[in-house]
Amino acid sequence: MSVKSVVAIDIGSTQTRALLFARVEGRFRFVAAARAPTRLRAPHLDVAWGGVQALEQLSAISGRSLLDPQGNLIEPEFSNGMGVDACLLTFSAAPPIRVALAGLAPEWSLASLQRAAASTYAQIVEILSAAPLNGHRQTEERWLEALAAAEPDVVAIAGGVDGGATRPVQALLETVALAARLRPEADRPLILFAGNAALREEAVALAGRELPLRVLENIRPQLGQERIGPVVEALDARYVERAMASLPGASWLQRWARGEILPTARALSHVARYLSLEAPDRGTLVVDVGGNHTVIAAAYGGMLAQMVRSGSGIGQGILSLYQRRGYERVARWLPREIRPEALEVFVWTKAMHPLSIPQTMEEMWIELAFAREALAEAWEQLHGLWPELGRSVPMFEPILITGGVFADHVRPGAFALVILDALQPIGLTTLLWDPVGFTPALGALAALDPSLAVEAMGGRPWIPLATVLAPALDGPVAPDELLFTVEVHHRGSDGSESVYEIEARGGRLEVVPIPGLGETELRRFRMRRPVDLGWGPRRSPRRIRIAGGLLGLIIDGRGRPLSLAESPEARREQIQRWLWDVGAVGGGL
Amino acid sequence: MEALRFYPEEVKFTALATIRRERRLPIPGKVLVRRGETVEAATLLATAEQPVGVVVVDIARPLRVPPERAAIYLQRKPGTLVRAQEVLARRRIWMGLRTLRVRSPVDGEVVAAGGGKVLIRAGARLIELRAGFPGVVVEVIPDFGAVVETTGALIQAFWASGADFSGMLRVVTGGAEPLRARAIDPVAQGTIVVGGAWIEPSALEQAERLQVKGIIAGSMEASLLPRLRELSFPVVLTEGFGHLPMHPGIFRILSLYQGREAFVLHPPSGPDGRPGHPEILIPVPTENPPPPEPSGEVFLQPGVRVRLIREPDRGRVGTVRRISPYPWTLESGLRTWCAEIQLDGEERSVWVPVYNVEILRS
Repeated sequence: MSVKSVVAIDIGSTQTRALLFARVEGRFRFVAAARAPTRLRAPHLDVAWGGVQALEQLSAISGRSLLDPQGNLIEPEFSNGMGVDACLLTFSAAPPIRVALAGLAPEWSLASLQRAAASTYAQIVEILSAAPLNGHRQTEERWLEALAAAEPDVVAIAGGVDGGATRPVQALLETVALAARLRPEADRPLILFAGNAALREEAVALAGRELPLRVLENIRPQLGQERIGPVVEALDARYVERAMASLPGASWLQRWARGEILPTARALSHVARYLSLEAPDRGTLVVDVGGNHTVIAAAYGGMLAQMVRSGSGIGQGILSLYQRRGYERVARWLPREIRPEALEVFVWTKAMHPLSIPQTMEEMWIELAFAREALAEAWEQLHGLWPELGRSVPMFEPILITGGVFADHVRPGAFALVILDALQPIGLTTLLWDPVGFTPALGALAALDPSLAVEAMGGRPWIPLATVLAPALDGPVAPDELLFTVEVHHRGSDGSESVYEIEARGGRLEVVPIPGLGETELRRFRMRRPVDLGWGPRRSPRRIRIAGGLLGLIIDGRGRPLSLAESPEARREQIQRWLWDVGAVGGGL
Repeated sequence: MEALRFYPEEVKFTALATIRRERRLPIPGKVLVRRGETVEAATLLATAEQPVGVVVVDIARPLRVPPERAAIYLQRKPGTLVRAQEVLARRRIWMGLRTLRVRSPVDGEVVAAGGGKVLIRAGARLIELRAGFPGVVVEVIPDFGAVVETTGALIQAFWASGADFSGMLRVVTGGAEPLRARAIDPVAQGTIVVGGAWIEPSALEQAERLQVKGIIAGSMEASLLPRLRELSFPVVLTEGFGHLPMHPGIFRILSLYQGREAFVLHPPSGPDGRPGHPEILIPVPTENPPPPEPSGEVFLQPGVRVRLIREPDRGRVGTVRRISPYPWTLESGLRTWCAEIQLDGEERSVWVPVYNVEILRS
């Protein structure tokens, strides 16, 4: 049966979203979205409640009845248009799974396992290394004690290229199997074996019937080859399994779900991969700042590097984010002075009331300052785990922005600046905005029916926010120093033509409105400094076609890495000017 | 289009109700009470033993055998208990003239053997579940605990430090008055001191000197949190951090029951790790059982009492006048559904986002 309509339910730590996709005028596309609080606090501890409320709101908004009188999803779609053909579920509300990693060497198998764990909702609770770790050799007794104390949900074991060393990995396997048997039967960790293929039978024999085991493809079959995908998938599956077991009401929603139930971050990675295949010479970024998790998915040519940072966001996660980043780092992004006590009050209020939103401009600036730090932290960690990212991917285009912190804004310049400050993209990129949070649903759709997902993503359903041109500078530049000039040629849909020259200056953000209709090109770059726009120093193409967008073209002449003034007063002036430049103050859309 | 319904978080305070609370162990254990039994706050409802340590004993080397052959010499199989110095494994050598023995270094349970090693689970931590407040057991939860019922006052607070505690209430300030050192006199020793607004830093020092059982106040600067860790008593905040007065209704209940014993309980965290509202229970015996505490779903609608939780009117209380039929654009640049709130004691009303309020249930 062909699927004509789909509802996707995304259960976040703070909000549950319901999103309707349907065939409209021959094209399968996003139709409407609604949301409700995710209830994870007694006495109303029930994630199904949020799903049902969001579906009720979606019915009201879309005019399509989705629930029957008993509160069940109407599935499949009736001929009168009631109900939907399929329901998709994505989750990020459950706490991360506790993962212990066991490997042969920190720089090889353990590094690969760490990348796999970073790609999903996992908290690394212990690392066992057969080779010395930080100069210390670990004994088997130490491994056992560590595993007994860590109480992991999953132990992932890797090590040895195929046909390589077996003995040290065997010792890890034996220890992990012994430690797993220490736990009561119902609490035994899942053992993932992704090491030397020669030890697979041994792993099965050691686990016997009492220990849950999954044997996976070797995470490093050759020294120069890494395959983290199967481990990520197994960790994702465990996360979903744990979520279903630990979130009251999840099984109620599970009855409606068709296809694989995905962690939200995995769904986002599908979208990042899809977009990266559109332009294999460039990378694609999908960034999501939610209530308790921050996700950055970087894809290039279908390959993926992903960082899922739990305990980071602008809901419940704001407290631990603040504890890690501290007052100075957050306050540096604010255009006005704030006392540490006032910032702490904000943090506690937001952590205890994660559904609440800023009413005043000051509180919005604080919230977006935290969004910058959440993204910057995840970005640093992503580069730490995938150091080749900075070398092999020259630029990311597009950067897709999703997540609760970026929803419902009428001054999108405010969060476009968050992206520029936190990720500091270089060269030419476009910012796409998902204002209602339908991106995870598109990823889940891809898992159900790739052709439907391609249809829904065709023509990029996100809102084009801006085209960004951010040169890398060869050294410090004086404020307002001329970097380059460029001509913006616009041909309107009525055939009218306009040309204007833009000056890019040091330390400044230039925002050039680009009409939505017609065609726009950048031509005649004239370099005044040896800036690199992504084509090498002083080089530029003869002409580049750019898209419009809500904000138009942003030329970011502030340099990389971004340099903030030392003195607090000068820094606040700097921030105020940048906010003003991008239209983050004053009137909105 | 049907009217949308919004369900903000809610907070309860009531002067008299029948209150039931489920008390559960985190892991299965043994329940020690029966249905109908009267319990005190300190009564043990259930206990459980949580294993804490593991000892690994190498038997292959002392027995002088390869690790894979060691298991056949085991004297204590997995699942059996073993005492310290008891023989774990034994092997006769020299035609039986000499015996190699490996003894257990600890009391414990043999849980696994393999690879020439034996694992002994040694020691256990006793987890005790106490009633936390006086009442009657109305339901036993097999292996986990019980539901205890009492009658009296219930106040759900914003935040509390420390563990569950109890003490006699002593109100030392007027309503909306900050708690300063001079308000806490020696009579406060051993009581729970109640202040009508925020806690001044000097009050913490004075309370420590006088050995109070705890402090209940409206609010406190978050910068004082590190100091709380050095104090011997817990602090309960009913409103939040910063400088917020206690809700008059909550202050009234605490004043009404001055001299009675109050019990502060921390409900278990949700599956996401976020803690629930700490609760203040003040048992009050009654001849006839009062109605149960407010329960069931409440959504935002005209007439509902709310507390505002975000600036610029954080901590203010009022009544919902109406819900906007369409989203509003806020000064912050966000566009969202709003409710008009008539603030208590003022002519003016304010429009606030529907999830920037807490529903007050009393």
